[in-house]
Amino acid sequence: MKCGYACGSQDHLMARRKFLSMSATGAVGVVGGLGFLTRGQAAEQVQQKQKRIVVFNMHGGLSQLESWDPKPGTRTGGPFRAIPTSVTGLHISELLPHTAKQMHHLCLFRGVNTSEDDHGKGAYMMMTGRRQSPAADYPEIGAVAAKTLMPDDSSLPGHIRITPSGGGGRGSDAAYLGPKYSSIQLGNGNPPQYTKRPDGITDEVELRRQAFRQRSDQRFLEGRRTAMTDVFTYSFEQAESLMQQREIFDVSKEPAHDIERYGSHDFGRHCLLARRLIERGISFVQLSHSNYDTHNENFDFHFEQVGEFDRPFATFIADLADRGLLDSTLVVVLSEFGRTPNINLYLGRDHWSRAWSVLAGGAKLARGAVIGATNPEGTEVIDGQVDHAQLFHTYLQAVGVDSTASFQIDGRELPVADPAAEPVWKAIV
Amino acid sequence: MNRQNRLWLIVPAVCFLGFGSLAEGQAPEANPAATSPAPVAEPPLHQRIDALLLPGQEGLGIAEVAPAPLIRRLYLDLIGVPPTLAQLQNYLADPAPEKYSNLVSQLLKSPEFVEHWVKQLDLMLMERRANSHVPQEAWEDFLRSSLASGQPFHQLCASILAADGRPGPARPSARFYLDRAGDPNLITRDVGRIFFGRDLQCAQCHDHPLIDSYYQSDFQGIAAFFSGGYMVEVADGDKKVQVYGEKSIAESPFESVFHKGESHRSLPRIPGLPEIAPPSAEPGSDYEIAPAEGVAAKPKHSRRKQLADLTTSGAATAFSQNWANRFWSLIFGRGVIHPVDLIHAENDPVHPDLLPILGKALADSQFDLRSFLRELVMTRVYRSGQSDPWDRTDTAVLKQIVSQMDWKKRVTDSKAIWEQAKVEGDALAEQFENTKSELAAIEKERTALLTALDQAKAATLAAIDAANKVGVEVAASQKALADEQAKQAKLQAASTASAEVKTLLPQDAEVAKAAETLQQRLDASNAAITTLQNALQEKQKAHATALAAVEPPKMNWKVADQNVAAKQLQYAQIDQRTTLARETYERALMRAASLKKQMQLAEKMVVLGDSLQSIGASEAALAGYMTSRQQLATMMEGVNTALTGIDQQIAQTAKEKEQADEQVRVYGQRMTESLGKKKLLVDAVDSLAKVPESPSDVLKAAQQELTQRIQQADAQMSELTKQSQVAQEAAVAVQGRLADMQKNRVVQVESLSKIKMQQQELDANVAKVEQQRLASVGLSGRTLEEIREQRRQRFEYSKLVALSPEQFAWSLLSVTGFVERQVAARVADLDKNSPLTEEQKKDEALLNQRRIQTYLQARKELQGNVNVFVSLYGAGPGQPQGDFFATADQALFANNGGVIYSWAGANSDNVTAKLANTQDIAEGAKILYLAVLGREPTAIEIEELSQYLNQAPDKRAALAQEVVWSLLTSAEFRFNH
Repeated sequence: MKCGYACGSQDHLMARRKFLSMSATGAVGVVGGLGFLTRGQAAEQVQQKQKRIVVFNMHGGLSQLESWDPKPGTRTGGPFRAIPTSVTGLHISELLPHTAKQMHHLCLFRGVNTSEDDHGKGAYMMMTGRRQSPAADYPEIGAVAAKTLMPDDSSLPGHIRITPSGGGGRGSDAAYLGPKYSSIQLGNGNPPQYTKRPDGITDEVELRRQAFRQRSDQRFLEGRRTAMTDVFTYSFEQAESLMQQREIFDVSKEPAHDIERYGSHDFGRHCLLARRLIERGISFVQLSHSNYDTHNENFDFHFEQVGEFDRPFATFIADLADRGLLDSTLVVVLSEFGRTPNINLYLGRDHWSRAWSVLAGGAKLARGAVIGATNPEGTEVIDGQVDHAQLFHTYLQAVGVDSTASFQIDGRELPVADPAAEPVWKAIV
Repeated sequence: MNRQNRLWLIVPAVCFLGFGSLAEGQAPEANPAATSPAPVAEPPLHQRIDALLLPGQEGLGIAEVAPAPLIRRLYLDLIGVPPTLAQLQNYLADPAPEKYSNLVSQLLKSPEFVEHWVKQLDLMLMERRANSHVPQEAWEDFLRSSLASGQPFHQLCASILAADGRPGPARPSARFYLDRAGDPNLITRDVGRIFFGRDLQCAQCHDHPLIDSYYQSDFQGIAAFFSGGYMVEVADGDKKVQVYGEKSIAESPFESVFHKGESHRSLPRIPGLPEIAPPSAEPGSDYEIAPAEGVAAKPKHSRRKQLADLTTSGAATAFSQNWANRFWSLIFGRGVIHPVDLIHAENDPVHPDLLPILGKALADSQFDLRSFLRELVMTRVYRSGQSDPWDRTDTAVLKQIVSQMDWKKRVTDSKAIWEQAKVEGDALAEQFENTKSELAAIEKERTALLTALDQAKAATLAAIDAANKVGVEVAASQKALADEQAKQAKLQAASTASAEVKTLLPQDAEVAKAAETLQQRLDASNAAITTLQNALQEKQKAHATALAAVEPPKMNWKVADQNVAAKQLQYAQIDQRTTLARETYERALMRAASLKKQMQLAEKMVVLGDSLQSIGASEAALAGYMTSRQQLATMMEGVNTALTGIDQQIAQTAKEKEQADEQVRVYGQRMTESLGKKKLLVDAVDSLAKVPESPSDVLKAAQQELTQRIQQADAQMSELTKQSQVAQEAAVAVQGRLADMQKNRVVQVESLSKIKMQQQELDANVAKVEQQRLASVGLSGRTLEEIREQRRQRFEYSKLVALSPEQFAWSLLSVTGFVERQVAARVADLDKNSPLTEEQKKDEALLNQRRIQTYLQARKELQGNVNVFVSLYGAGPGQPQGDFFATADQALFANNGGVIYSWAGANSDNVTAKLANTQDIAEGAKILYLAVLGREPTAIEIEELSQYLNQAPDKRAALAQEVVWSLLTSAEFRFNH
């Protein structure tokens, strides 16, 4: 009788890999017992409700006073008023009239104190949940999300960064989690690099050259398959699948009225693309809105920038809520820091990290909650102080990741988040 | 015997490597390298490695890989690229029996070797960190000159470890420190990882939480080498550069975050060696270059220099074992202990004796990288067969392999040995703990003395400082006096001269006045001198006092220093003992871990054997069930046939019964009719008898006639009765038959349902056994996978290592002919610009130098092509660079990036051009597979290639390009195997 398991384990892998992949790669042999069993597991995995994270990076340092924590009528308040929101008693800046109507979905942290006024270091802390240290490099939230939230056998990248411009490529933001979880960058919202076949390669050529390569691989790998070679083989299946699913990255396939609702400017388009991506199973998307580093003419700049941000962001939140995605999607609006309550000679505000705000919402975060407060002039946190490390824990807990656990990387135990900090439990429901 | 069968004979012996050494392990001396006296003539290292990893294999011949794939492996490992077609063909055609060894020597001497290992060392030492202070080119030049000159490797390390990067030709050697920004924790961590194989990062603030044998004092011991390191900006010509200076400072105290308040001091110490006692350096005179603004300080006793000296002394086994392990991992794809920066007692090695032997051999060779690598690639382990024979086995072969040994007994035996080792380990642990607490006690005393020494040093420095200040005043005072004395001398001379003039011109009032003025000035100056002399005396007295005041603290310092030195003597003794106890204990731990692994392997073999048995039993049971099912089916068929027959009979008989019943009924009817007729006749006779007149003849005749008729009717009746009885009997008989048949039918139906029940029971059993079988199949599959993984880790079959990004890019460029073409162009340039004379053409050294020169130029020209591969295929900066990963964007790049595809195109006479121009497909296939994959094609591959190229014979070049692309992007090309 033919040995069942020798082929069984191969089928097992084939089955696992074939499961989501649409590729025509690899001949599946006789399905053995094991193959059957793991297929069931794979199906179960897919059925699990996948969690997602979307981060809006307000590049340069959004002023909390012109957004989430206005102090109208005070020495530090500036010219803008505060308006009521969909949460009774909660007021935010009048620059955000659309977002104000969505605040009942969101959770506002008003007592953020990160004590770091340097752009690079502040951004590092907010993205990794740790202070920068030369002796260690830490993965960004997107890499952690891709590792913990993305099904292993998905052919889509788990960590996407929509950059305002540039040609794309792979980011260097996964540290010890490895480049598999590094961001794939969509320069100005364009599809990932190399997903389009060069003009010279026709369907026919592509089919036969790939088939030749695959046959060669099958022969070579017979008798020496390891996890490593599986990953290699799978990368080509993934690439193939990604090319077939290239439309996922094409925001122009969204209905015209949605494009209209989000606004035809770049940021609107990026927000709509983010919606499209998470709807199609990508676990992490980061967008940037730039630039808030307003040392001069803070108010003019915020009037323009926040004005542009408001409608697409509010539309995004409303859509997620409408479509039932908000329960499984965490949204975070952060910066590297806030801006000084003090207004300088040039009507600007400078770097300020001692009392600022981060807006989040969705997944397991409390809805319509406000955590923390600053004093009347916004110069100090008087309640509910949190820092970058606590927020990082909280984001992960909100999407069901145990932030106090550790990754096992190559025989090393590496804590998921700063072990010296804890999640903000009261933000989690 | 075919190849596959041959493999099977080898497998059983190969797969139990670990057990061959079990008996050896029981000997008290587990570490021959550390304990045995130097043997008179030790066999070469490669034989010792084979003896250790392939016990009992001498002469049996582990399946050696075919020459061509072996050569690809060797080229990739030694020079980073596969052999060219010509190199491969030359080798294959070479009849010399020692051609492999010759080739190894040749490759080790080549400039390609230098370039490949410059990169390997760069990746290990710098891990793709940014070049913030030292340009990559300068750093690589530094490594290159060391490798090219054959400098012993530990001397290279020493120059890196002792460097400070002050401006000058040696500055690039400080890149290790400078491009880590001089950060003490990062440097401590990376020196621990990269030079000593121990990632102590998690032991910075407390003993390592997970690894028992990593102590906080290990981290602090390395950190102490760098406690004086600091970054300082100094001038380099007209620009400023950062330099990693060193101050002479005392040990910084540390405490564990888990044991607050217990302050410790660690003197410099490298893993596995005792602490280095602090040199006695008198305060105030401990600098070679004193610290100052814009100056990089350098103490007389540089800690960094001590570290560098230790590594070259040969005493640091952690250092030599680390590098032996790292070089081994570059050749074999994984470390003897893996990961290479987690060397510790419980991370069990392939063989507990292997790393000590390798480390010692490396040290004994004076860290000659080439001769060490040579020994590694000469082993049979390195040259072993390619793929895993277990992958192709079927159950029968596996069973045979497993049954060659009594694994259950193995488990029991190895468990006993392991437990014994644990007991021994516990005893050693106790010894270690005891000396450790002794050490801790004396360390406390020493810490107090060190604190006192610090205070004395501070007091001395303060006194020296004060004295220096007075010294400055003395100097100022001396200068003032000297100035005044100079003035006085001039005045004296002028005054004497004026006195003479006055004698010559006695009447001249102005002269007299001048002389008087001069005299006054002279007097004043003399007075000032007296004052200054007094002041100077004061100052000098004060200085003498201040200098004297230095003496008491200095004496204190000397006493404190002697106290520390005396304590240090005691400390060093215990430290020595502790170090030894720790080493012995950890070696025992390591051995126990190794024994445990062997026991676990035996356990897995038992599980494998059992699950194979169980699969066999299940299969037998299933086969039995199949027979029973067959039998039941036959029986069922019989019963069904019988039933059909019975049913037919019943139907037939029922019909017969109907007929019989009809008969009975007919007779009954006829009898009734007959009776009725008779009754009429009897009635008629009776009526006639009642007639009163005497019967007439007519009447009589009628009576007679009637009587006769009655008699006839009676006769008919009796006849009918007889017949009716017959019919009734027949009907009863049919009825009886029918009843019997129905009874029979019931019996058959019952037996049918019995069979069906049996079938159901059988189905349930089949399902149960099938489930058992599947479970066993799963278990055996998983176990086999685990055993295979363990065997892979023991180098029991050939490695499979991904090419580094640089190797991959250079291999692509080399295979597609770019390197060769670029070199040819550079050679042509050189020959044109500086042609050789006939005399020079015979100068081997010159020719070689030109060859190196043109090769390096060609590499430089092509370097830009390599960078895109580094960004896609390389790990991030500061991360270990050896870990493999494959991502979709790499595959997308291979598919659509255009780079590899265009390189695969036909170009002058590269492989694609050759393939396109060779009409004989078999010949073309041979060229293609040798050139790209370093081996001959198989028959199937020739056939496939033929089909491929014949799809469009007029587009041969384009098809050849596709085929070459397919092979360049294949797994076989991507991996070194």
